[in-house]
Amino acid sequence: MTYPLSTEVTAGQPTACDHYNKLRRDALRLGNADADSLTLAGFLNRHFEHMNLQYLATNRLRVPYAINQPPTLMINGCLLQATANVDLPSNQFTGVAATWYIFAVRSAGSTTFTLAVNTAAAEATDQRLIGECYWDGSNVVTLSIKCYFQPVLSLSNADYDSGWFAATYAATYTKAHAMGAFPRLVVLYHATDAVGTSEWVPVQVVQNGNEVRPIIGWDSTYIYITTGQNGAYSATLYSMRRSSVSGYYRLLAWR
Amino acid sequence: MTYILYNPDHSIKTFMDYMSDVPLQQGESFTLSPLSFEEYSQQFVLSHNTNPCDTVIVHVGDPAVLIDVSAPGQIEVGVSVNGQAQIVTLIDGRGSFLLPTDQKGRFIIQPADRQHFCAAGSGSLLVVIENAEN
Repeated sequence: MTYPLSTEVTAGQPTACDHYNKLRRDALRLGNADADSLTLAGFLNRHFEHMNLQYLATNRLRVPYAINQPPTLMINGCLLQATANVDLPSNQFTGVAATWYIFAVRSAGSTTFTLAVNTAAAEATDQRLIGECYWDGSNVVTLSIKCYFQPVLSLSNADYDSGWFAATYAATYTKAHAMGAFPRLVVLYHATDAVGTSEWVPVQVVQNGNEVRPIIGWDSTYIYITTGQNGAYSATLYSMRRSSVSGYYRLLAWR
Repeated sequence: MTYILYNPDHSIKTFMDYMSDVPLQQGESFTLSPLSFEEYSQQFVLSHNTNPCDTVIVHVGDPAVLIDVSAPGQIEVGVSVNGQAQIVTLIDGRGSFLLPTDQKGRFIIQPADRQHFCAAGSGSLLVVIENAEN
């Protein structure tokens, strides 16, 4: 595809329909045929950037503004961008406990947007659904505020998993994690059976005689575990959940 | 198949499904058992109230602590209690013995023969006898 299809027009040159149509196609579909490309407005119809929601006392909501990350979104074909914090007016929540839906609202004559809430999730013509929160009948539950545009992060699979192995006191277990760099996160779990069907308890400290100490270290090649030296103490796990002088360990590590 | 890792004194250090991530230390060695990891873990199990690997804490004067021993295929097995070996007779691979609670102290229990049975995993148990006010 050649882009743009259109060419410059010199002074006095008549504008042919073919020229106009190429220019139009450039503007609407970046020079592509109708069958091959949405229009730019269609493509950007659900566009958003830097949208988030915060609680604002009392029982209000805010889309926070930052000069280098201005909240931006498209509503009903209009390109809108906030120039300051966008705050929900007071006294918008009423009635019995319910989930309320949060909308960005376009108004004619404005290039920014306002906020509105409703117990129904359906978008009106000049509205864009951006989140939800829970009203308990008296207050907005702060932890319930959710912006649909914020990615939900989940922990990726560990880069190293030792599998379960048997452990006891007075031992050093060395495992090669094969990451080629220092892991950023290492977690050691303890179970009372070989396949981890019992409760997993993270190993934070063990007893070393009358002392309590952590037991893990690592470098760019290995993870090291040194259990407590005295078998008369809980040398492999010391926790309010469970204590032990033996058991099964499993290491998970992330680069 | 289960990898069994031995200390330089030939006692069993640990066992695991695979050991491609284990660098052998000076004097350490390993063998391969045809048993699965889970099967191998059941070769010698110490427990109290069906719980292995869980430190038992009781008070002076409480009923004696019943320790269960499981060693499938054995008719008796040596158990070390604070370094003193005793023989426990097994029926269908299972037996038990009592630990007194008449005075404050600690019992570390493990297989007497650590070259044959592994103290790691389910093979060790700690019993702590505390004063009642603790």
